[in-house]
Amino acid sequence: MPGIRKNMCDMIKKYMAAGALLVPAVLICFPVFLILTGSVMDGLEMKAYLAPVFGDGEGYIRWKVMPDYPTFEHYGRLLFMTPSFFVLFWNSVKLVLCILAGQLLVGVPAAWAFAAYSVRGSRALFALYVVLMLLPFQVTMLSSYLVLDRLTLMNTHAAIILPAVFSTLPIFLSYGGFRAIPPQLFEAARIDGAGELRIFLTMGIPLGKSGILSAIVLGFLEYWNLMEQPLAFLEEKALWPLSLYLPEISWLQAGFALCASFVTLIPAAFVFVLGQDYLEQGIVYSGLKE
Amino acid sequence: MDKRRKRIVAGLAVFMAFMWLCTLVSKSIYASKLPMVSTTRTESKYIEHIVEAEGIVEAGAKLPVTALSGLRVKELAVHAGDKVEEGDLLFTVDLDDMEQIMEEQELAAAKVRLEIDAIAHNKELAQSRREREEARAREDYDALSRYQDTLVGRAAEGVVQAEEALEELQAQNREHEGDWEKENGESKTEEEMEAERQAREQEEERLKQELQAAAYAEADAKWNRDNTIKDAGRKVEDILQEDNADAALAVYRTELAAIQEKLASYKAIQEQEGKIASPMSGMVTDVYVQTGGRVPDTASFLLADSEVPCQFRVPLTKEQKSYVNLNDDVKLQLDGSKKMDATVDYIEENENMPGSYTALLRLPEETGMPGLSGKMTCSKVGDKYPVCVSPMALHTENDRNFVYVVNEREGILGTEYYVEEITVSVVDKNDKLIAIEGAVNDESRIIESSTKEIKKGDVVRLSDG
Repeated sequence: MPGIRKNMCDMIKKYMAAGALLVPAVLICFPVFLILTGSVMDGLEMKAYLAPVFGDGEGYIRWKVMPDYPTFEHYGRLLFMTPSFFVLFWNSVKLVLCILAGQLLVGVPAAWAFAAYSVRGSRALFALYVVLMLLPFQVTMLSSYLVLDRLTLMNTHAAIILPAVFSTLPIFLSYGGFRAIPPQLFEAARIDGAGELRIFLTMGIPLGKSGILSAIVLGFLEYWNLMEQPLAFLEEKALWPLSLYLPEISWLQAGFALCASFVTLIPAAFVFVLGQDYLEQGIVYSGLKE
Repeated sequence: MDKRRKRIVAGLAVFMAFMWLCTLVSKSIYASKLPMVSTTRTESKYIEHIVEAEGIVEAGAKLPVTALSGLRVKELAVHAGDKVEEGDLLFTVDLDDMEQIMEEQELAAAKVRLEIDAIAHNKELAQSRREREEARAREDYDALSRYQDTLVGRAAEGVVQAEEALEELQAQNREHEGDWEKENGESKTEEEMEAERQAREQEEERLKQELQAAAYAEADAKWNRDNTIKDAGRKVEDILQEDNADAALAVYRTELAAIQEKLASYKAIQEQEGKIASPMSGMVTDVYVQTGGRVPDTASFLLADSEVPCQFRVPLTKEQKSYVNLNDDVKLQLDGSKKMDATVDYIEENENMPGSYTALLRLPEETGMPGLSGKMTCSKVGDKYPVCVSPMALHTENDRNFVYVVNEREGILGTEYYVEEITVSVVDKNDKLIAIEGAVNDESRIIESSTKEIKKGDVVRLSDG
């Protein structure tokens, strides 16, 4: 009997904990829910709900789980009648792919070098990398601007891609993945006659892919939502990424804006779900002690 | 890669493919909605004003054809534009109606005749009465003259007798003056002498008074005679004086003559079985009679005078008039003939329509015929203007002239062309070019035409690249 009572208590505790966590979970998910319902809400209905925001500012906004007059007009308009949205969408795709590819080419070998080779001063250099990683964009913006301007790269996608390619975050994350590999494996491989490149390609990358992929996933999420760099370095709107499209939409078209937000969210959601496991591992690697 | 990840990757690939498809569709829809415009650059050109106006040939002069007024038209044989020769039938009158008119006219003539007869008879009676009165007056004049002469003669005789008596007394007084001896021989006394002298003086005085009275009587007789004769003479003159002018008889006679003339004309028409023929050759330009109506007392027809050259009448608007002046050389092309040179001979403003004008061009002899239409072309080269555009490029709204200019700007879709509206003022224009002034230059790309209605700020696509 005492065993049954204990089980009952455990179950009650479990449900209570679940219930207590459900409330903040729902609150956290509320923006997504708002985007979903708002994107299919009729303009007049939304105007009525958001009247305190756009009207006299009195009272509180209201919202409905199920819109009274649902419509897919915003989706139709966005997907079939707004080519500017796609220009920016493909700009984002281009920027993200180029940046991630560049980071793979530059950052992964760099992280491998930091992790696999004990060179004098490498730790200091890596520490400097970490410091650079911690610097916010606003600090490096002026120096980046001067360099890009001297290189006549202003108002080009290269102004966004090149600084991002040499970002230190993917090095840091990949470094953690590579550090998790036992060094004895590399020694054994060297004894067996494997060259450094072969060790990197056949052992380093497969064994450290969790760190690489977590860097890719985090990099994708960061650069998909890029804001400051395009605003600072891109003058032509035609070069802007999708993240700058939403501020361009008047809030009088809130339904359309929410619809665009939802579509913008989809690729990030795909990548996040795809790399969720690697992301967790990457975070774990970033917390490993040297 | 496990199965779940493969599905996610596949889902992402499908999403990207869908986005690519949507990109194509949205771009194609966007492109299909873009107005396609054709643009042109401004040019520096001369503005040539070509006035083209259509008009009609009119007779140079018109001759009226009149007919006996009041007749009822039974049938019209010609219409405006018909060409007639001398003797050709113009119209036929209603004979029954004309016979009724003739009867009325004959009755009127009879009345006038009676009036004339009465007046003539009255005149004869008046004449005989006046002759008789004249004879009597003359007779009275003669009798009075004789009688008055007698009276004057008598008065003159009285004067002579009084003079003789006075002279005789004066002679006796001179004889007896100083005669102191009486008839019996006795001498007279002073008193007697004085009494005799006074008696003689008194007698002389009396005779003098008689003489004066006789002289007065003679003068009175003469004055009376003159007045009496004058009055008698005046009576004769009064009788001899003509009566007041009386035109009644002449009027009646004239009226009768007119009626008879009309009757003669009616009879002549009756003999022609009511047919009215043209007295001359020419083209009928105006017809003022109609079937069933009465012939007016003015012209029934107007015929073009073939001896006077025709003229070309062309209406002009106020704007056209500003480019066509008197004595301007113009080209004229009548229907079915070649272009010819002509001169603007006359321009007048229409009274009924102020602001519109009529120009007249005299045609060469034997050219054109009334009713023929044609076109007048007048060309004038104006000034050279630095900025000229096609009329299609100019728009007007509320009396404001403007042009649409294509400008470039960078947008999300890249370089896009948008429409800018520039207010201009029209300096000069013709059918093909308009000279404008405003914020446009030879680099401006001015929109000439568009596949859709455009307005300021619209994004457009250039058809000329």
